[in-house]
Amino acid sequence: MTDTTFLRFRSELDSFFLLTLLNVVFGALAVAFAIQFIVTSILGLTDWSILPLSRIAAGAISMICFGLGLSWLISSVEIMDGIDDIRTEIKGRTSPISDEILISGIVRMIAHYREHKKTIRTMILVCTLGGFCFLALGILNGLEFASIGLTSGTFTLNSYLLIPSALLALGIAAASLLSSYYFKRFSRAWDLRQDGLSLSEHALAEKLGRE
Amino acid sequence: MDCPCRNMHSQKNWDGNDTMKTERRTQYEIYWEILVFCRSPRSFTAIVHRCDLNSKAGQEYIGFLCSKGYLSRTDEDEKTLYVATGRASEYITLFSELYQKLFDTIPGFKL
Repeated sequence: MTDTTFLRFRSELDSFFLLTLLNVVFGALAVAFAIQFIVTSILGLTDWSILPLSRIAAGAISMICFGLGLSWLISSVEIMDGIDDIRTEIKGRTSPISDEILISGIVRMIAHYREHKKTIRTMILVCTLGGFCFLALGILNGLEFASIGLTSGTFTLNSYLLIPSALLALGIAAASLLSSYYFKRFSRAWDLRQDGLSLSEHALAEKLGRE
Repeated sequence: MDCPCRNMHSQKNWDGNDTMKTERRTQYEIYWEILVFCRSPRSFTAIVHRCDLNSKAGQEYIGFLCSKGYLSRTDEDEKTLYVATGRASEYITLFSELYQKLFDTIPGFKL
């Protein structure tokens, strides 16, 4: 039983580490693209006397995306740091492993979750908000350079060069929303475990003769 | 003798090296760590160092475990050592079973 639990624990650790690593990468990309969007939407204006509404909106959303991206990146690094320590301890071990090592790992993981529960909650919120902001940015970028001829029924793109940037924004939006979903799933699993532990504490208290 | 329900301590890894992490453990998790560490006789300093407790908290935890008969005190070469008793293995077993069961019964996280 210990070996099966150990393999499950190791697999969960690996999955969560991969998720946080991907979040670090996408968080960094989000910051970089937000800066790029700020530059192109605001600083890229040639005539400052005329400020198109779409540019102002894109600039404002880009700045929000920058803040959210930065928050996303910092939170991911914070979470990844602790997970990496636990993972390093587990990584070198092969089955069969002692109960003590397995339970130590579980205790550390639960402690890590308790410590970062608030950050994970923030991550879920930041990823969802960031996802929608990048989605809006991607759509705005796409719309700005696309025009539809209502009478002729034609669809033209003014600049092919801006399609990749709009697609990237949409890609980051998808990654962000997916991260939020996976963090929610991770959080649900560990919340259930924590609830179970609260019930188990009664048995432990009884054993210790403490009420 | 009551200890705070949640404690913040830096954590040591299983080889005893400091990882300098601030993590939260419950009092039951700390009791388990002390008892597992004290399978062989340990000094007060070694226990508080290994389990990352401050002196005051260490005294409270060790005092409680001694008062309930989970740890016994022995004097050796003018040094006081603590060692887990037979009762301690009952607690260790129950703790391990509960934590392992919890991990096995609740669906885990996978990408």
